[in-house]
Amino acid sequence: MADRTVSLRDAQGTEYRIVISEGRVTAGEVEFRFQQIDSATVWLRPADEMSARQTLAYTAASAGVHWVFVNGEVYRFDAEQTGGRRKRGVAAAGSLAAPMPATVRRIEAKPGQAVRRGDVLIVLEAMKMELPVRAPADGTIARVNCREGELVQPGQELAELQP
Amino acid sequence: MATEPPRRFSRVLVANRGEIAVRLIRGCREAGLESVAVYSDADERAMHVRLADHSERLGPAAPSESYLNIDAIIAAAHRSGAEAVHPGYGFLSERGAFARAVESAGLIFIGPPAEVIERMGSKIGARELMAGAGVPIVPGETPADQSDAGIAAAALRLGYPVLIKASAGGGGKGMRTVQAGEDPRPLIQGARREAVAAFGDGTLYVERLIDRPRHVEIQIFGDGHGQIVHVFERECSLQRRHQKIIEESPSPAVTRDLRARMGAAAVAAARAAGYRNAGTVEFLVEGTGDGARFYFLEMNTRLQVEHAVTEMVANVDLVQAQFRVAAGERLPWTQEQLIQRGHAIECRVYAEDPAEAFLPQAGKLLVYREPAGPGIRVDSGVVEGDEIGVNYDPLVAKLIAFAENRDGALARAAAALRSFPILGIRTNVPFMLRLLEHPDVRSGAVHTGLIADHHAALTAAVRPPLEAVAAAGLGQPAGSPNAAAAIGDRAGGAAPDPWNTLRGWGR
Repeated sequence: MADRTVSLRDAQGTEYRIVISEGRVTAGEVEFRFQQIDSATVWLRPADEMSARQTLAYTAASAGVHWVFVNGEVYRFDAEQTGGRRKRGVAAAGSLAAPMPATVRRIEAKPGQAVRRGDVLIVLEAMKMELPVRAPADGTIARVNCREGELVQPGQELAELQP
Repeated sequence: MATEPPRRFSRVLVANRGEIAVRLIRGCREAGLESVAVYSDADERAMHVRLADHSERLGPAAPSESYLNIDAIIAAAHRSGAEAVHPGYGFLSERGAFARAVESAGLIFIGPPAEVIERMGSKIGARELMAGAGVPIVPGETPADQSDAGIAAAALRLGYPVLIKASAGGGGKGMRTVQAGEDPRPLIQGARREAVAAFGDGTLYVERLIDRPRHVEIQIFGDGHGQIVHVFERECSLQRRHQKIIEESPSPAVTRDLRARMGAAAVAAARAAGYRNAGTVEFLVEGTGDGARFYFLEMNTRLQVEHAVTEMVANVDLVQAQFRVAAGERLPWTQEQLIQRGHAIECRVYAEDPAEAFLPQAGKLLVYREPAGPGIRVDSGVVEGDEIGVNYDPLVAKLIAFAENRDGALARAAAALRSFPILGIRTNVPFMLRLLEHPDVRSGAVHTGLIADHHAALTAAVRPPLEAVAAAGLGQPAGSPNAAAAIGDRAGGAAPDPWNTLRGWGR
């Protein structure tokens, strides 16, 4: 079977090339033997150490995001092929995109208004809780793209901020 | 002493969803009762619907049109031939009007009498009653003038810092802390908006904030034959946004003497309220040891989310006892027969992102595998492949670890969290693991501000080990048909069918 290469980027922006071949997977110059237990469960051990510690990992991919659970920690990687854009899930910290389906409860920002990092611009409501959307940086509000009472979808840009 | 005639029932409608509906439906099966699940359009294929003997649609996904719709639930009870209704927690469980509507429809409400729910639902009424019964209370008031200025004036009278909360509420909704020197108006307005949204009532209550309090509650239980017992305490101090995430029993701060005093106060509170069935008296505890002071916070007239820790340490089944008491029977235990032994810890698994202010998360559970083993109990209402939606509370599951002592329970809970993979949405599992390993949690020095104080350290990003990177490269779209062909020496067969991964079926 031909080798397969997957390029991923972690939450800190570090990029990895992972090379997969028959029963072996290489990440960051370290080669592991692996067995796929079921579609989500992977059993790994370093290839070159006889008594190496083995790892049971759980993994799944969806919409360009690769998820891994190892020993109680969860890691998210973006697949490079899709340009690292996420279609669903939570917007990045500081983004002015709606993080989840929510109702716009209140708009505090007006176009042309100068705001400081951390100012509450919009208050969303979902799951009976208020979710403040804060300015990710100092700047000026260029546009507000939502109305009070509107149901917004994840990824929808609620406002535009000019530095 | 009041005695009740028996009120037999054989079919129970469970007016709830998620893990508590599943737990109650299983309880019905154990008791030889038939169960009726109700569901909104969002939950048509949910686990609680599949497990029940019967199921009835309530309406669209919005809670107001389904799980909060009293008329729809009563109609479902009549259609299904249910003779009793269990409200679970949340939703309509603490609405006196619901209990009244159930009884008016000729059905049995599995919970306290409607007038007790109403009396305890009003924070003012409850406090006055408790003060009269000699139960200590935190200084506070519901200002007659409910304007921003009126609330601010009350805060000034009590002395900052104060807590502003929904008079009708619970569960941390519509609650704000105001510090001295802070502009109270935006906080008052936020509390009022949330109160209106969550409870349909914007009346606010202001109370003095006790510094670094512990939140300790006492489980109580009364029957219709004049007996009221307490089933010990639960320590619920580990909270985020005023909502509990880790609870344990016994509390590391409660001594034998304090337990006896708090238990007696809780029983006195329940007696003053005319209580029947399962309930909880919440206290704030200031200080530690025999000299600690405690104040009545509120009475929850329902089964609590965290009831399982009490079930573990007291070796009781609170739901079975609820059925028996609702049927007019006596409590299955006396105070003398109840013994607290071992230690239990509950971790609430929420679909939320602790690093992003605990923002609720929605999406599909691409991977969801529950841990198992000695002393591990998982109460959940989902299976792999289910969607966590935006319409309801983001609680995914409760992990309860039981061991012979606190260190053992902490270790068992941590080991189980390390074997609880949930992928596709962010959850608080990694966060809770760090919390369980925090020195102050290890030593038992917990208080309600601990999570806020250590939030940055508890949510710091971790660099993935290379094993995780390698595994990520092997990640496949869930259920993709060519997944098997793309991989080397694959052991399994087809993509998981939710029916095959359904855990605890008819356990």
